[in-house]
Amino acid sequence: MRQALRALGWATKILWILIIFFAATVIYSALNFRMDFGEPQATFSDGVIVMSFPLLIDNHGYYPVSDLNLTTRLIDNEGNLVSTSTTFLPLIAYSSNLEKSHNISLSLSNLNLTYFLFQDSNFEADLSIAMKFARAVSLQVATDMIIPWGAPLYNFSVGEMTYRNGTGVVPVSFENHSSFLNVTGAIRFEIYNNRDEPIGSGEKFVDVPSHSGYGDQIELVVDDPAKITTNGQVYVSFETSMFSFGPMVMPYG
Amino acid sequence: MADTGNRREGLLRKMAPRVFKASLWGFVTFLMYYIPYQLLVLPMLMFPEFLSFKVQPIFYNFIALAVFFAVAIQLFSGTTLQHGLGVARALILMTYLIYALNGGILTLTPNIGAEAFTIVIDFKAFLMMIILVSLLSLAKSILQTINFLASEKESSSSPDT
Repeated sequence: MRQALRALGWATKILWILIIFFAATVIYSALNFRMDFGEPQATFSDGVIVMSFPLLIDNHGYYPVSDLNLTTRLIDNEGNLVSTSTTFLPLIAYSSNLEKSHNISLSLSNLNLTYFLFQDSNFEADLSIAMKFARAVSLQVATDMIIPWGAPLYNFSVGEMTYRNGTGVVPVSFENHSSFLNVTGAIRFEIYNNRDEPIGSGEKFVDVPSHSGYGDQIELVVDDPAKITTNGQVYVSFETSMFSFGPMVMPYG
Repeated sequence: MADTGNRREGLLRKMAPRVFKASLWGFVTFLMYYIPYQLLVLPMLMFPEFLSFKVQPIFYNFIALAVFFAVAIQLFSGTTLQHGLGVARALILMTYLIYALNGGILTLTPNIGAEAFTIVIDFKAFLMMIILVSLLSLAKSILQTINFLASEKESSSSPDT
């Protein structure tokens, strides 16, 4: 019995020392684990904005980090989920660096363009990072962020039409508040008078980089000047390299 | 009168080394838990936002319990109560750890700057290791009790006594 008791006593002491050592090294390793986001880059193709965040991981601890899962959910101003992106790293060996991109895709077809092309807004981004230290301790960090959205056609306005020598001239202006989208393409106009009769149509090629304004006049071919009224409706369509939208009906005059 | 005085003196002589030993053990136990705790927690104090779940009261209560039992066990050393207290210590510290550490899942909600974070730490596997070692201590205490009672009975039924 005495031998068994002595053996149990020693086993307990050794196990306690091992547990304390393990806890200390896990905490030290967790404190020496760094994860940073680099400068994001935005690309655009087939109606999808892809924001690429370089993920810089530095594991200078004593244990590997496994099952690293980074998930980003984008929610629009009405609470609709518009994008979910996940980056998974099965294993980050100890004393190693790693670089990986976390891509957040935002399809314009998922957005209410009537709102997001013309109004500045905010997206709510739910960010969640989960990982396992030493295959024993799981850590999950979640936070909410606000990502501002700048409208590419902010304050789009059509002025009063003037007529000279068979040509109608309509002043158009807007501001491109977007950080991701350049407005490069054609704006098409069709003008109807207050009796809903077509007056004329025209097209203008524009190239408005992000964070810049636009103000110009669009010339319309008018077939019958007698149809011109002081007010009416304009059907505006946008056909750009990044998005197509329209026709949108706006009053003029 | 002289008999009472002698008895009191004898009791004091018997108790004084015990009290001294118990105090010493209490102090050693305090250091044994407090130093590793400081080593583990000091790096975390660099991030006070993360310590919103009141880690200090949890550990101070744990250390207080451990010191109390260390002192009590030494005070009653050589009696059945010493072993009974050993069993109680193993059971109470195990239960306290499970309760205080929320079964191995801690949820923190610190605010860093304007951002609100939710941090969930799942260390059930680690807590399980602690529980297993505590069970080993419990088994040892139970065996010590049985051993003590058996040797008591042996010595009382021995013809020499």
